[in-house]
Amino acid sequence: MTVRRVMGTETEYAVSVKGAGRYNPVQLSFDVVSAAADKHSRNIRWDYRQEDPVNDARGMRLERANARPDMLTDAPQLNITNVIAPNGGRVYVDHAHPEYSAPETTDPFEAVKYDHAGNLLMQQACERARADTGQPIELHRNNVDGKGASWGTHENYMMNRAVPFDQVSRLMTLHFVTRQIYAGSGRVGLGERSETAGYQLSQRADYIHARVGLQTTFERPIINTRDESHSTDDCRRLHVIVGDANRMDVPQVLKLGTTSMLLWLLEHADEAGFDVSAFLDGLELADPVEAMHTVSHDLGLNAVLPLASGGETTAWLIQLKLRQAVYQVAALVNGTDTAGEPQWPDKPTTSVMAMWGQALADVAAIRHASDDERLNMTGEASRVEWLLKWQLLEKLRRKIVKGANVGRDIAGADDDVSVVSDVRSGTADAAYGWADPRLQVIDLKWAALDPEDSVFTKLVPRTERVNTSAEVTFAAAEPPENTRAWLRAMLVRRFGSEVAAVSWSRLTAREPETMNDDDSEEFYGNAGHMAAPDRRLFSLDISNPLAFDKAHCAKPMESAEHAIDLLKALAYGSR
Amino acid sequence: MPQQFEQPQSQTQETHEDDVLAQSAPQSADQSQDQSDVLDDILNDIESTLETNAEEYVNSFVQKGGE
Repeated sequence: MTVRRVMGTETEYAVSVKGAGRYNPVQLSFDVVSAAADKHSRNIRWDYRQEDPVNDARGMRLERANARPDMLTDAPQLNITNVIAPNGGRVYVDHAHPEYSAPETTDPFEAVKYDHAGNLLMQQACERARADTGQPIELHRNNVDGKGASWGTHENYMMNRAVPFDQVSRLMTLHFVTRQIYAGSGRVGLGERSETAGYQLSQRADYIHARVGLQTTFERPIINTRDESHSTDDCRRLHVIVGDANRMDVPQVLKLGTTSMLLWLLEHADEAGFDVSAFLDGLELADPVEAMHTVSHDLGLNAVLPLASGGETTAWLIQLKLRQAVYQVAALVNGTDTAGEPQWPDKPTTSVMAMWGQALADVAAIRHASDDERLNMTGEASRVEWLLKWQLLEKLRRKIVKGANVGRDIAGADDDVSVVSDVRSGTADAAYGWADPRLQVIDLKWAALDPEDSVFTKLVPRTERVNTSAEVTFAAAEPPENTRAWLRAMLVRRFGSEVAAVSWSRLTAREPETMNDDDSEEFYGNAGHMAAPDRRLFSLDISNPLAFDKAHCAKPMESAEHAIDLLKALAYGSR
Repeated sequence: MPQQFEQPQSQTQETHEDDVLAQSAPQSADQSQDQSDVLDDILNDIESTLETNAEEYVNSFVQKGGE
């Protein structure tokens, strides 16, 4: 029973030009990604041959002719830019956004550290792009523009393929609909185009319209079924698209940690004699998509969610039951200590389970508090991002409303400012002042990556951290040592342009004597076709994310003269 | 009296909530200063930005959809 597994995040950033009415986000994305490249990584191509975006986890394939062109990420594209980050991650253009994929890590705390390292890498690239283009380019870490567009923050988990996908889909639906109560990053505006004034827990919820599906850019599903493991055949990768781009550490650790624990539950339920189907039958929601929206809009934290069986529940109660189920299976599989606590095998697991409990205690405390009490909560606000953001917004809203009333010389203005206790400020019923653009500015500046411009930066000392700033800075420059990200990063660092192409699961190097050929730049393009004879290239399959870590690869790396020698040595087992 | 056997629902919920109180937490935040004062300071800091062209600032942030 452990929270540890191969996992990682992908973050799409918003890109814009400060103060400009019109700009081209696609061109800006290229500008930023291009500025992320250094002399080592500039000419290395991303190898799309293993990408299989039309493979569906439910066991079927979408016909390519039926796929929208933007789903075919392995199709030939001109001009696409990919950069292998110094830490083994990837910086690239995805649609109209610059995106950072963190390198593979093995626990939620590491994953959050490497995710936040991406903020530093992207901000550096942005500053270089400003200098290169002469435009005040800005990046934001959020998911909505309030005008109808939404972009993603994804989680990836490697899991045992033997677990029936139907179980994964049903359990994760429950989790994703309800984890928003502690994981949401908060959003000003209700509806895809912020049609209604107000505040909600999650950035992403209003853009989710289907229960399950392959697509990620339209009719977005709660459960994404893209089945592309980037790993060995016995594993699948659960690709999660419903999460928010959190700024705070705690909600992010919780998202990654609780999801990993629930996947562990599915992987070990049989062993423990735990009846997953009966558990899921009892909690199945009547309409998960509607519930997703209901939970996000419910600042009272007690909205009733109808069950398929005819009963009722709440998001908080579902989270409580999910956590109890993990406890139950852990106690059966791992045994318990003298206090009755399951014997958690490592520190990350112990911490995640404690943080999950704390999160539910926090949400319970917030639920019982009036708006005035919520404004003064410090512990809860240091862990729950949507609450901390709400506090800042609500403070400003009260000032604005008070100012407006004083301006109009209305007697008893103070009474109008305080909110009736059973209607939460920010809900559609109590949205007075929430349409003011100054509140939207705060929401936007919360997400600003530039520390000079970010209101979140000023609040960081008020939040609980799981990694120090120094650790995050280190993670921007150095790969994790216990996954294949180490080999990917070090291969590029040491051999630079001898590396022809890189992907999550494959590394390709050139014969050194072909390096100066006229066609050397072109023979291995992003097209996914190999135009050159195979003898000039050598590819190493690194599908197993744990087999090419520092422990396995440091020695062969030391003794190899060329990249191709290293890949051959690793392939033919001289390690 | 039958009433004395009735347990109000809120009390049942409180019991659940007590069950989940956690034992440990990560690095605690600095809470030496009053939350309200900190929030006010931040709002005062950015007041000038907020007062000028908030609407224009918000309207100029337009993105295309992503994944």
